[in-house]
Amino acid sequence: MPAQMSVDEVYQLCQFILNKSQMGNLQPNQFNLIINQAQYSYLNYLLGDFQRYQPGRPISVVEWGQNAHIRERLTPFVQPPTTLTINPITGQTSYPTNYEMWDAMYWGIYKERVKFIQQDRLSSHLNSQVSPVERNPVFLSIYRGFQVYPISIGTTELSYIRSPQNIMWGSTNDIYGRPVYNPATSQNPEWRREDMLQIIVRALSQVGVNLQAPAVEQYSQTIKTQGQ
Amino acid sequence: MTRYQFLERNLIQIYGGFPQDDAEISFDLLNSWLPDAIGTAAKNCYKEAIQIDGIGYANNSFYTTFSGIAITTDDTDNLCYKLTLPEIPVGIGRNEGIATLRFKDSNGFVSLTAIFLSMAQQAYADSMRPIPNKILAWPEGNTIRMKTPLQLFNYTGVVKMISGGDAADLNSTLNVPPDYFPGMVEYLKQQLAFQRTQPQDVTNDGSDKA
Repeated sequence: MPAQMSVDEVYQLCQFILNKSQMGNLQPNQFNLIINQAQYSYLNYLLGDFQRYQPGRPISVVEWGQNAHIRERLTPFVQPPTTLTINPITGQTSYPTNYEMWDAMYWGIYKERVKFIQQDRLSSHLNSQVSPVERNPVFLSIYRGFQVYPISIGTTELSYIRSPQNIMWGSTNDIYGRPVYNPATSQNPEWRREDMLQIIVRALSQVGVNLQAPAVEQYSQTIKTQGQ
Repeated sequence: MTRYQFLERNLIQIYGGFPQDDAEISFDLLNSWLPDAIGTAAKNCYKEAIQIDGIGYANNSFYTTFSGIAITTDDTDNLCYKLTLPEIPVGIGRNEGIATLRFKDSNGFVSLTAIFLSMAQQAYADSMRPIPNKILAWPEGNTIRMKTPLQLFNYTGVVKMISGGDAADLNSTLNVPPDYFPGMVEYLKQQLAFQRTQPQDVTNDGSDKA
């Protein structure tokens, strides 16, 4: 099982770095806000940031599916193939639970591909006599779901990336009104430890602390050796 | 080797590995190019035979037998019947794309082959007296027309012709001698590598510019 960080460890690390940088105290509600923004920012980076597209070639420097290393980073959120029932009249189906991004769609017992196309190519595919859509099904992204052709396809299987759960540092107040960590109301990150370091860098940049990931790792080791 | 195996091998070569789900070249698309490649291979075999033996012929391995083909009357001529071939014969010689056409009755008895004519011969033969118990035939595209005083309604056609096999069944054996595979592979590569190198218009902006 890959190494992971608890949400308390993440919060303590952020506090430690902010204190070391003399940037003040990070309240739990502020932490919960920035850490979730940071994890979605990191998710966007791994899926493929538009701003990093190369000129004339719409591929990001880092993009989902480029290699096994990037894929491994997102495996906590890759759902096993989920059966989608396609409406036999409209050919439409809704997104599955917590849908973020599709990975692959299959149909039939031999898991043949259902190819993603954009709307401006639909006419060519539907009217193709060389590759008839009955043997070469396609799907398009529509509002809150997919449109699949042929509409009589029945069911398909979708492998997709789901949204990560919100990271939450839950607390109860002590007799002095200070927040004390409560694991029962907390939600640990689902990311691996090395990914959390990247997320922490993003979170801290939102509060004005400019750090590189190795520096964060060094701080993390300091916490381990010196305790909290 | 089956059609599927041959096509899969070509796809892997064209894509430099197993193709991804977003590959534009499907098996059906590749299969649509295959008859062209098979025809080219058969023609090369025919030309090589002329170079080597001085006589034009295609190797037996190119031929496929199709049976159970329905025969109907042909209203364009007298005493004329027709049947529809599964594909247009390869254009080698006058009509060497078809080797034999025989007729099978309901008892399973198969006749001798029809006599094939070129279009020039057909016009000449039309002015001759019909030959008893003989069937004259000539292909036109994917139709074979037959002229005979015999009643052919109760027969079905059995044709031996140059064909790569059953184009609709990807799991059928590819009826081509393996020494002609390299030529077919090169032909397919030329067509599909050309397709892959074409710039794609990825934006839907009303302008046909990549």
